[in-house]
Amino acid sequence: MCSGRSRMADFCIPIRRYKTSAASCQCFPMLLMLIAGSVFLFSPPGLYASGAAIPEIPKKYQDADAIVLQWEQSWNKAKDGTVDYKETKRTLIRNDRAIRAFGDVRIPYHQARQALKILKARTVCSDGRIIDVPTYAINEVSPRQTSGWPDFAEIRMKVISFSGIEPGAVLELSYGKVTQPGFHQHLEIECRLSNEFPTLVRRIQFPDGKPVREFKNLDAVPSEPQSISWREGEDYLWYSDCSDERTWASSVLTELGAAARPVKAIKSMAEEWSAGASDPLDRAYAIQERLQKRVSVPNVPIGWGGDRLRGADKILASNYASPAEASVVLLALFRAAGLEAEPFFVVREEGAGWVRSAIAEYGVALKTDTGTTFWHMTQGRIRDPGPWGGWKRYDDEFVDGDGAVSPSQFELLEDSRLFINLRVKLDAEAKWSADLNFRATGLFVPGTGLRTEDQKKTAVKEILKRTLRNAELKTFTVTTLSETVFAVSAKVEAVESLDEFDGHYFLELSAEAPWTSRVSFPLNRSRRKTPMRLAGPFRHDLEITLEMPDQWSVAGRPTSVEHLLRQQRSIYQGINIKDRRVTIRRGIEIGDRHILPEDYSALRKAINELLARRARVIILSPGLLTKDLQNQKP
Amino acid sequence: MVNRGEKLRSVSGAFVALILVMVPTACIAGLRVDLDVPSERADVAAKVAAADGDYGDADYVVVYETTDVHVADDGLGTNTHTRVVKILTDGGIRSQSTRRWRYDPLTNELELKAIRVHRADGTVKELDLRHAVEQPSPAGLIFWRERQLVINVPDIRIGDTIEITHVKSGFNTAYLTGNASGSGGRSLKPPMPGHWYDVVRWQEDVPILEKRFTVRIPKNKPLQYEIVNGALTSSVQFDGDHVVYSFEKEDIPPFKSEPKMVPSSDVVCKLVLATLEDWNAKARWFYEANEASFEIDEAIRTKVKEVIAGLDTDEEKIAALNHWVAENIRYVGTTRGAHEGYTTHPVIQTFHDRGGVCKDKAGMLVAMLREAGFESYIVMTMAGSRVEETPADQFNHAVTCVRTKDGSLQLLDPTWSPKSREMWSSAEQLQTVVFGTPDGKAGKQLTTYSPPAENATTFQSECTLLQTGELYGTIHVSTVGCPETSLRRMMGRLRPDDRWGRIEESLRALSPTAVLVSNHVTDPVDFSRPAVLEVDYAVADYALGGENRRWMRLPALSGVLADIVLPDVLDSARIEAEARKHPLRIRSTRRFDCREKIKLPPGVVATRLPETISIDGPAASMSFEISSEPGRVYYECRVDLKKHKVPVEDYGNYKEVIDRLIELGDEMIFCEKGEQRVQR
Repeated sequence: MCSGRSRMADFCIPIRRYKTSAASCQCFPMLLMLIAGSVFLFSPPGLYASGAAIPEIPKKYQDADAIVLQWEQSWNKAKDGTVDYKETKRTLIRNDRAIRAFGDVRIPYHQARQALKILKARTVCSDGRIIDVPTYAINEVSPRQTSGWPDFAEIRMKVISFSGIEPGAVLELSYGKVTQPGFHQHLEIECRLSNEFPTLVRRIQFPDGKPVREFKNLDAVPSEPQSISWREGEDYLWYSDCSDERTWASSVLTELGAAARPVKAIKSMAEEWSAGASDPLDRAYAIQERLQKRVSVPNVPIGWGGDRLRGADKILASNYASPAEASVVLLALFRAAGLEAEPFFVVREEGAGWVRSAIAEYGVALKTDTGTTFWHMTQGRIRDPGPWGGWKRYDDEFVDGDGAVSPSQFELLEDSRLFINLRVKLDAEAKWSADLNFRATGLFVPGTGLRTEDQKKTAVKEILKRTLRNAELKTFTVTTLSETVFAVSAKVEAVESLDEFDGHYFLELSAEAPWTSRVSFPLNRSRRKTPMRLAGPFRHDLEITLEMPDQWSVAGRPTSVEHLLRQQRSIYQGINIKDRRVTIRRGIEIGDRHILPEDYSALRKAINELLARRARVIILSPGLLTKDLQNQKP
Repeated sequence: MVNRGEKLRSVSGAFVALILVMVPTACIAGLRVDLDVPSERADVAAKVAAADGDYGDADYVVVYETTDVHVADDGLGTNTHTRVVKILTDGGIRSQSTRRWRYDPLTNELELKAIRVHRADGTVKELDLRHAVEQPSPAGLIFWRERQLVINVPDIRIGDTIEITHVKSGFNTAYLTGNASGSGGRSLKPPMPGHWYDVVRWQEDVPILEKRFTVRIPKNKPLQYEIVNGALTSSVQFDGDHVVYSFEKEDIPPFKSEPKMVPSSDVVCKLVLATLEDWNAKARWFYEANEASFEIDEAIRTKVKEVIAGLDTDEEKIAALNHWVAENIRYVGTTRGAHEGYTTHPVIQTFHDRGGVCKDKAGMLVAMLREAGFESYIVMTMAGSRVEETPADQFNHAVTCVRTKDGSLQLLDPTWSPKSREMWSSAEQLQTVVFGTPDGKAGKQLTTYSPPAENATTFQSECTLLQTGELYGTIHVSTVGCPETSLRRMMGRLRPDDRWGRIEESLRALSPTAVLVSNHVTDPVDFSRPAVLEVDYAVADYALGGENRRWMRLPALSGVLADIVLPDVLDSARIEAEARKHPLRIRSTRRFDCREKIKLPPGVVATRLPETISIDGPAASMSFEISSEPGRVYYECRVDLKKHKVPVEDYGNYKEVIDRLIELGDEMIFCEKGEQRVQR
């Protein structure tokens, strides 16, 4: 339980600690030094004279669509707990592409517990004219995340639409927000330093007389698919007035547990929904699946509505819940069904501070005779190892025997493999049938569940669709099914005869590789600026044996591919032709889930070679064409 | 509850700004209507009990819905709306537990009258309406201070029936009189004094067992109406000084939408009612309502001079002013209270703010054109959807017209013109407009058809296949009309250094191993000439087979760059279905011309080529001719999409053409060393 003391935690600059290559590790100290070098004490925010001349723009930012000239934030906490926040920002607009990002500023606040005051909002035109934002251009809306849900109705957004924006104009905004005592249990702050546009000067002052930190010339961070989280990839500041991590985590868990107190109505609902299921896991599934269907979960950002959680009975009656409340109602129903359950929450980034905004998900740990399983109201059962691999889990065991904070970690999927064996038999009519065998482990075991026949069939079809074109699943048998292994033996057939051109037949592997069903790897662009994170390290091997009819031969063989890259990354394809039999072995192994920008291009190129049509097509001829084949380079 | 205003806006997305009537009518301030109608419990119970059929996969069923409109002498009315919904599934619980009604507090009054939950066991629970909360509506770019009333109906179970009665009065547009009077302390007045209108949809995505709409209107106020896309049972009865019009329908099936269809409002059964005599009267009124906004100041005069300085012809001046407004007045909707809806903001403010929605941008252009010596007016239109004959307001967009030398009115759309050379968007062809001219004589018209040739993409490709199977080449894409706008907007959104990556992305259609060697693209805001995109590429291992035999697809027909200039046409969801129940919609008519020269390695000839194609139909046509000679292949392909709304009966022709185009991208030519002997 949080002590409630208003003692400030250490001022922190967390360092990214994701597991990565040696090269990336080397760059972190450099980045840290860069930040450290630019931090120095400065006068408190608020001394900036608005309308000041535009400072000299560093050459490296000359092409930026907008430049944040100055950005100041400060927090003060009064003795009675009132928090006074002030923010000032000056942004130079260089191109109309940036207007969308800065033209209509949205400031969230809680109308009952926070007082918002716009101190200055104006446009300083390039010719020196000053255009104040007219009153009709300051409007109040409900944030989309919370709009339409009665219990979040007091969360509002003030929208300030700047007037007279043209390239060369500077948008100046200054406002204050006063938060009543008790709105948040603790004052918690996270400040991301960089953003989509470069920042010349950034000043941050945390409460209790902390010194002003000033940062200069913060580069823009581009938004790229599957970039690592900014909490891991960038330096940032956080603050909490909670005394320590243990108190903080305990208080969050206590709130979740307290709100989940079951009442009679919940008990009868839990019984009704889990009736007929005796196994604890089956009861849990029955409850979670039913709950997911009937309760809406608006994605209310943490902190917007304060830290108050509604009780489970009220949540269930209303049929809507914030993400934290969704875990509360799941917990209450589990407990009401006689299951032993505890709340937990997860923080994605290892080095994140103890602030609620860093909480990624809330869930319920279910303890049965066979062990502990983890549940999420909308995602269902969370496998471990599984999609939350590496995330910190704060549950009822987050304090170790010595009293130290030691949250558990969802296991990383270190052993994710997808091995597929396909034995294809082609008949003289150019139609094929095949035996498909595959064994999937780790992240290749579908996280959506394999409880029903339909779910299993869908999973098999998903693999098949990404293996061979025009394939149809006829029958299948699950040979192994456990938490970590899914193995199948199946009979498949061609939907139609092979495509024929000029007397030749084309057997084509699918354009999408089987591994892409579970591992997303952005391949569209040849360059990246930020590190990329995959779902996990993995290995995929596909072995296809093709038996041709008599007199048939290979007229065009797929390209061979061989790339051995650093960090245990390999991409390969080999083809062997012997008599009427063709064997293709192809695969990919990526031994590290983090891809650095400097490694990306080579890896992308190698993967693309394997995905190219030239590497996926075997051209077959009903007649012997060995001469032509001999001319082809492997 | 059918929130017609909300649904209408969703049809036309971000450009919706001229929000007109589609909200159920108005009430007369000061007139108390007896709204405390007995709930007719027995009747409700009987209807609920009868609602026990098989409703397919519906989450809930509308047992009945009634709307009773009382229209007063000045054209305002009061809508009393009751809706009874039976919950069938958990999904029904989720969707019906929280109810929301949007309204504009300046021009609407909304009152919840009763919410009752009829339990399956026959008991009835009355909800305490004090639990309803009121909050601002969410807003994207239009901040008109709209509000919403929200209430949670707790503890709903499957089998429960929810009965909700509410009263809504007023219009979505603000025409408040200066003197507050009557109930609620304010007086609501219709935009056109004395006139009332409404558009009622009779279908939604769940079954409706019974629906009724009645209008009680003074006898001296003639009402015209039409029923489109279906039939309703109707009656007209005298009731003292009033006439009561009634419309009913039972067992209305759920509306099933189809991918990429025309707006559902074009095809569902609709009742359109209006007291206005004709569109010319609407046009005159629109002119008068907006004239005062066009007054300009010295700053605008100076800007007009600056924009048209050095330009000789009328066409150049009109284009320059349209582009200036399009590029410099950003799309943002701030509010002036009583001025929203039908009237433009004073152009002096719009100019000063450099911002406004469609009506403000249209008004800004009217004022600038007039200052430049042109005769110009503001125009109402309905972007994307049909306008029925009855002169009820059915508009969501405002544009501009200018009188040309031949006396005709040329349309201009500064809202749809950013990063576009189109003065009038090809996406707005065959669309209804009402010209706000002084005499109103231009009235309601349909915009002109934009033929495929005006919306053309031309690929000129030259490539070389090497002995190794590698391909390198250049594709020169020139565009005009709709695809030109797509290209300019796509590139305009990207920083110059991000364009490279976007083109790389598109090259993947050619091959995952395609490498972008260089590219050139027109400056998105250089409107002096059509936009072009030129791409140099190389693909290792493009052709299949060995040195003696090669198979290869036709590179320029692989779909490369089509995602940039033809994204809506080649979207496979459009042609998945073998047949359709509703018309298909693409952004515009289109022409795709592709000419490609493929140079083959020395001594190699193409011996198998795709077949010639010639298709012509009412919606689309296609021609494809390919020829070869030793060392080279040349082909021309032309596709014309003649209709931007493809009727159901023409869909087969449209699908055949698009299917053939996609198939052609999959077909291969076969080349081998030796002499020419072409097969098809």
